[in-house]
Amino acid sequence: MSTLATAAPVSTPPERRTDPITTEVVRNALETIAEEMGNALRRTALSVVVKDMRDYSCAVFDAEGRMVAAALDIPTLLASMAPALQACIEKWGDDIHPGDVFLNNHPYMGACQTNDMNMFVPVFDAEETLIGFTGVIAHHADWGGRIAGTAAAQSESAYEEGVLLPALKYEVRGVREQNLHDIITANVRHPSQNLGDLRAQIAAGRSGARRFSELAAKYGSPVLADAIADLFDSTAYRTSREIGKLADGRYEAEGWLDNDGIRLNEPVLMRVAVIVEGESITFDFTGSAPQMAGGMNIPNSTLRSVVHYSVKCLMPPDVSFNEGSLAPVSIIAPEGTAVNPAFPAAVGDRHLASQRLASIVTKALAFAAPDRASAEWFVGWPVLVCESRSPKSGDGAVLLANVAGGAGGNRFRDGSNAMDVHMGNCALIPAEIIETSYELRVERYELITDSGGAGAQRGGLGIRADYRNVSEKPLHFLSEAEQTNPAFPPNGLHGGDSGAVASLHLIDADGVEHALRSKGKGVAQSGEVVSLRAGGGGGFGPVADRPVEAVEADLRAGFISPSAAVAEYGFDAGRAAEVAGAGAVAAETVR
Amino acid sequence: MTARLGIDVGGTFTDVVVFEESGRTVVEKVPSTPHDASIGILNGIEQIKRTRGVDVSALSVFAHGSTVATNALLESKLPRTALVVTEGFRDVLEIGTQMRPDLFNLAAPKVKPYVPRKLVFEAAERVDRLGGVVTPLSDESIASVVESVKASGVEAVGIALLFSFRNAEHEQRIADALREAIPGLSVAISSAVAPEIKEYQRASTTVVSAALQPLVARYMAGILDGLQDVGVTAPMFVMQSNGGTMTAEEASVNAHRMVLSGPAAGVLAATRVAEQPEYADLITFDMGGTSTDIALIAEGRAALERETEFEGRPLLVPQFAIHTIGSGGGSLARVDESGALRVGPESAGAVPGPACYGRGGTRPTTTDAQLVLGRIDPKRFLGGEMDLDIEAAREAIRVHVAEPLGMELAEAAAGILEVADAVMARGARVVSVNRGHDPRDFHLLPFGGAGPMHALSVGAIVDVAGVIVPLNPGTFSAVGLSGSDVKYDFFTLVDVGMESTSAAEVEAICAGLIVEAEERLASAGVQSTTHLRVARFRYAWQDNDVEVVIGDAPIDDAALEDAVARFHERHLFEFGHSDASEKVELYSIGIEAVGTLQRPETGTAGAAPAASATPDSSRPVYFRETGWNDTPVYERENLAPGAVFQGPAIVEEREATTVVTPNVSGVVDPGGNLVLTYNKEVSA
Repeated sequence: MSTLATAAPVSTPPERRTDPITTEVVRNALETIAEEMGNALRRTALSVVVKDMRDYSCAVFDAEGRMVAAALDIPTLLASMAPALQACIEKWGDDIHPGDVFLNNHPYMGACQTNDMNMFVPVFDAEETLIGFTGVIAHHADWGGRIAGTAAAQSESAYEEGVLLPALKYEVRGVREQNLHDIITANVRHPSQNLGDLRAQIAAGRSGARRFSELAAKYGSPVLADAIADLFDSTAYRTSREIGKLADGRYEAEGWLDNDGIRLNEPVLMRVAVIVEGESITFDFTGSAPQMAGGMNIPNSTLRSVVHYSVKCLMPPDVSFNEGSLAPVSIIAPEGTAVNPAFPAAVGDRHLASQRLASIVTKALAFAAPDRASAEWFVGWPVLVCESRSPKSGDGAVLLANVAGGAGGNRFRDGSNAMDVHMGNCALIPAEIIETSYELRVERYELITDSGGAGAQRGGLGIRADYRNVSEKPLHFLSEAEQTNPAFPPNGLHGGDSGAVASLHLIDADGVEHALRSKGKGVAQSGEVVSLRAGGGGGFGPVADRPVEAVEADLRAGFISPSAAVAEYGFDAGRAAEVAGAGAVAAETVR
Repeated sequence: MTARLGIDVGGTFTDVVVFEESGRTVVEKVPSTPHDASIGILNGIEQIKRTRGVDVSALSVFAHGSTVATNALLESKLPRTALVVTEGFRDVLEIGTQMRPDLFNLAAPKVKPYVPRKLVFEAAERVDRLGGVVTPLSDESIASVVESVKASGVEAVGIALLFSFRNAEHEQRIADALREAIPGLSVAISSAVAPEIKEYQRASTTVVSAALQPLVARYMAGILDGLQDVGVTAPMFVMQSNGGTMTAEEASVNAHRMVLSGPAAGVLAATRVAEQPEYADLITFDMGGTSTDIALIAEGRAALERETEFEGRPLLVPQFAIHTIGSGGGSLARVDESGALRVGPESAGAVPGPACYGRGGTRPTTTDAQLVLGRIDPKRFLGGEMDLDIEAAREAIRVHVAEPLGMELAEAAAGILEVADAVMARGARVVSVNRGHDPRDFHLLPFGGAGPMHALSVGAIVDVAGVIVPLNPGTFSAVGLSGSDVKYDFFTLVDVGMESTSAAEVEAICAGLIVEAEERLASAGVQSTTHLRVARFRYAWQDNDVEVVIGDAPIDDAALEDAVARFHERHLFEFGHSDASEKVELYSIGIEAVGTLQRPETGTAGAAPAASATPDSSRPVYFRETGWNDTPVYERENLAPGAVFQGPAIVEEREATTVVTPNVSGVVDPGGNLVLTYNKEVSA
């Protein structure tokens, strides 16, 4: 099926079932439940990925599995939960009881990636009528499969991506399914971490479920259901109204992934047409490449997340985020393509592809919603994964470090420097934490001069991070980045120039740089440096519109070099050197 | 006789409290003077002399809460400031955490660093994680940094080198050279300001400290001059974010400790209430015009946080863990285009303020709703100093809420309050549930002008045990100041496994810190000192550490063992799991050094016999459950200990109004606090 969602916009103010005060109080209560679950999970989880990188999301659903309220943590995970829950409901039907716990990580049953484990708890009222669900999705650092960490661009099938749990019950009426538990324990690399996080997911879900039933007791289940229906309607109406304010038309954009993870020299096309028609909006991905051989295919629930994210970016901040947000939205994605793959295509690195796709969608929307537009952001997500040792304890420790690129320039201002990608929000690990926890020394975290695209509003700059192996032993690492192909940089908008692309390097003991492949394994000998270099954002508007003072300020700050001022902004070479010189004295490293 | 003066400078009012030996507490409120806060302070002192006959020459202590540092940051009115960093880290402020300020806004700007990139200078040097020198700092490198700083013409400079908390020598050498070469330059070094791991957070804090130094020094000098003119000779102390005060001299060099001090004085006053065992577990609820500050006091102690942020920039400074939500008496109510009633986060602020202030506001706020429902007496707001325009409030609610929703006026006003309460209850649950506590074990302690109006309805949603309205809730922060002590935090980052350290080693670190603390406290003129030893432990594989208060006695083997055992317990409570067989690390060891200031002796009242209170008047008040009813009004000052009453009722005092909702019982305790509890439903 290539139509994944069909628009049903709400054009007239919805008829209310409850009074607006009750709806608003209930909305706050439900959002509080989602937030409390998120905080409880972060507090009680074991793994660094959940606790520190905060790679999880929590939400509350109605009895049909529609998302009612969510804690807005990681956008890419949020919209993927409802399809995963609906698969559980479809599978188990009436066989859903108090005390049950569902797990689903099957990318072809509504989940998005095997590491991202969905956990759902059904919620019942005092009469034991099913009134909804609470859900917690959390990224498990490893879920078995062919390599440590499970997800990899090189995987060629979902069978290489760890244990699939196709909407299973982990607990039945409060009793753990020992067989399933033992299968999980036997198939993951660090089971204590997984089981600790699973326990935290279940505890958070159960505490949310308790609050949800208390709410039903307070208002009565029918009133609560009415209030939830009113919430959907009101969000659907407001979202439809906002879509209605966009100019009708067909807005197209395309972009390329560097490769599919296997055939490294073959770029992969992704394409979208956004069609705005009154209060409906269609996202048609027809024309995107056939499904990829490697692990970067975008499963349905992640595609839904991309669309959900893009729609939310069009909304004023006070429009709620729930099932109603997708009412005016149609999604079309032909089967067997990179954006609607068929089982068992691998999907483990779908985040790299989906970040790129989000960028392409925002590029199309730039013309539909000029006020909310920006030039393209850098979305290559350079990452270093390695197994080092803790200098304190000598124990092995896995590092996953990513560095941000630049945001695109926009109507109001230059793009921000060093901003994490669309759909994600991961923190830069402090240099002092890295040196304390691994046998690595960060030699620089700095912005890359000239990496932002020129324009009336310049694109933001990307980060260069250099990690020196200070161990006596060689360091085996995996380094990955998208958007390394100079043919497909972050594009400018309305005449702005493109930002720089990413690159990965190994710097040997003599200081000689060796370019690394965009995705692959490597070894850094003792004293050698792995250098990640992110790209920059695209520029907005023609270069000629950039005020001279802004260019001079960039020169003084070192955001652009004198030669870029000459080449891009038509500065006189002497003047450029003079302005930069005033700042350069200050910036020069002193020995 | 001894008496203590506390002054809290707020955005609109400056509160003055004198706490006398007789046990009498005298309160005054004067308008703040935002362009120069010292004028309001001196006006307040003059007024309390004149109207209350306070002899200010006999004051033993003057403590004050100031927003000078906070406002300078908010308005970005900072002197030109430079930053010196380790080579390769010039962009430490520009990069920040690389996280997005707004997930769904493609044009959302990142916060601008307080120091622009061109004023960040690199020094060629490097220290490793244990403090060993990898790249020595040469004299030429220092000379070059000095030259760059000199040429830049800055007034202040922060120095934040990598791992300086392990070895401060490089920072100190650069600081010494800068001070010598540039007289009058304000210098702050990160190893002194925030000796903690994480270079961005430390550099950000150091820059704030450096930039504020000249401003705060000027401000302190100005007030000290003025105090002499009005006859106050008592030493002056300034509130810090950790709930203790510091001397004016200390504030001039550690100005970053004032930044988040605004809400701390009220929490401090609440910890005094929590000294009574039956009130040891409190959720404070400080509701102001634009925001509400909520904090948790468990077992008498308000939790401290070390890392927080201000205006999107991190600050590593010990402060009470206070959760702020953008909802207050000035929060605006509106009906969105789908017909949903929304309250806040937009606020009418102090100007124009609620519609009923008559300063040009036409949109309804929660204060307008309270007024329309009869909960506030328009003639007595702030002791009658401000006449409220009830017609304007009615009109605002009618036009913007009642008519669009097709509701009666009172129903609409009650709806506004109900929605506002739901938003605030979210915040109160965050501070309790999210730290592992059950709110049912806590009382809500409201203060601030609007706190006692909302406490019972918010408390019902949060599901607290009850509400305690303290004495003088409207000037509670100044009350806290008048009873404050000097408090300095010192700590050393240790970061070792417990198997490779000993009680003797740990106590030796404390002893060193105590010497430093004693010196600083002695110069503050305190009467006695205590040194609470506080350790932070964590499991080897984990980042979050847990604070364990060890006590004020020297640490021996048994004390350290007990501390580790309590770490496992705390970890289980807060994080839901613990493992006594896991490796434990001592992350840091420190002391909370408290110097008590001369405090007036006050007697404690015994229990008083229960007696039904007699209302002083009555007026029609609306509650959603009961509609309009003639409702008893009690004067707070006429409610003696032991007095009991039933809701619905209104309790009025000069600076605050307590709304007692239906199905609530009230009693005045021996200390004068109103203790309000929800009547249990009688089961059939």
